[in-house]
Amino acid sequence: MSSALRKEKCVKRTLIETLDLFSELDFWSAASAFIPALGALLLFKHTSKTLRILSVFVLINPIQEFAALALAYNGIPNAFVFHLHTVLEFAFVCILFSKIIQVKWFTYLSITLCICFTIFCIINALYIEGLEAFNFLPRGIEGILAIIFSVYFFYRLFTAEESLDLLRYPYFWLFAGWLIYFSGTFFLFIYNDSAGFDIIFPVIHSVLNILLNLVYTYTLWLGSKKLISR
Amino acid sequence: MAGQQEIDISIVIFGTVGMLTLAFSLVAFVVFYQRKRIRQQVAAAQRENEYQRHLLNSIIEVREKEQKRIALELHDDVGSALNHIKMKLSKKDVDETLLAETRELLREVVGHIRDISNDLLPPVLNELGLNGAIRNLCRRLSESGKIKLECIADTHKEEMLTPDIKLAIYRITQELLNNIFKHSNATEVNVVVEQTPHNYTLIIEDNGDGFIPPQELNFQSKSLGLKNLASRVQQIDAELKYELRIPKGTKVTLTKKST
Repeated sequence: MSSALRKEKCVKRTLIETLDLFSELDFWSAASAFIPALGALLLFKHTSKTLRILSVFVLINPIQEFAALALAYNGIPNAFVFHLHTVLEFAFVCILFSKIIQVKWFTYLSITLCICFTIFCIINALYIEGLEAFNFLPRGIEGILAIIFSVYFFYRLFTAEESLDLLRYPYFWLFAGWLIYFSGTFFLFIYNDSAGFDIIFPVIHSVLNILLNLVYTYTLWLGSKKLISR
Repeated sequence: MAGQQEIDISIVIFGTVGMLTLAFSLVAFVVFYQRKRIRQQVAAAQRENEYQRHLLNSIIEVREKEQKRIALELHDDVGSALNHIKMKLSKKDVDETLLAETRELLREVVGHIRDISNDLLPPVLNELGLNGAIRNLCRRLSESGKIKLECIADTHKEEMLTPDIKLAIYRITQELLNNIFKHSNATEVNVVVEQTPHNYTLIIEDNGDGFIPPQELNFQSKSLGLKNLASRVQQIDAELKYELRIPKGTKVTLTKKST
């Protein structure tokens, strides 16, 4: 066997192993959604009303994740699941944010944003990117808005008269998780047409998604701990 | 084409790393800032507790000193005078001279008891009101002739203050004027009372040596008199401000919001 042939075989094997790793990462990313879902089920009774909204969201999450995986496994286009997921995720972000911030004008703003975003997502699914393509545009916009919300939340913490032990404050973890997740995935959604995107996207997205699911779990655990100790 | 794709990948990677760095930095900054704030608040609370503890100790100390003073005055002045009278009256031959001496002694005893009683609860406060009592105090102190003392206090204005607060303000005035007489080497003192429907303000100015404002000293180094002043001011929730006057002297302002 010539050295060129050996080299070509070696490159092919490495590529296959890499792709296997990516699909495994994708699987673990989807599987990680079960951790907060399990936490939400176990801690539902002990969490506050606001965190119950998060519990509902993290209970819906694994269904979506595995629906998308199952459809892809059977060769059925699964992009519509992500379209739906984006609308739901942003709605939950808005509701949670308005509940936590408790500013009247923001409640109205978040309702308006939520309605406008949903309408935009429908238009995008029907006329812009299409239902069978991944919804990069709404994801990017959702990311920007979620980053703005999170920064505003930290600004409120920064200017608040009362000092909190942030590491024991569940909402701090929730917004820190969102800020990191949406900041980390922002460029992925903006530069979606790049070559090599298929390799970069799953790695970064899966790692950040696993991290976000762990943050959800910790948030629910912290929230329930506070109520139990009361 | 391939070059453009590489650039795009680089942008995505660097952009993502940049955004993540910013996000982590913001989170870390907020956490460290809040921790620093909590540490500062705990330190301030500890300082406040320490201050309160010293204040309480000083109140107890002042009270004990006052009780000791009253006991000594009763023992040395009133007690010895009464013993003297008893001895004189136990003589068999009581003549007119003895009776006159005894009367004089009894007058002194009554005077001492009145002084002690006045010190404990100045009757002028009830009779003349706070402003009248302050004017009376100024008049009595100026009788010594050592210091020219001027007092501007409208005795016709009714002070909207409770009796406890009036007594505390009177005591503070007494203490401040005593300090000036004892330590300042002043030759002129002005006492001004300003009243609005919301505030009662007492200003005492002197042309003495000047006085380092107590707020610049730590509590432990304050004298008992100053601790007593601080505790009285805190007790009535008032504000006492010391200022050095130019070229010399001190201005002390006591402000109490009307209840």
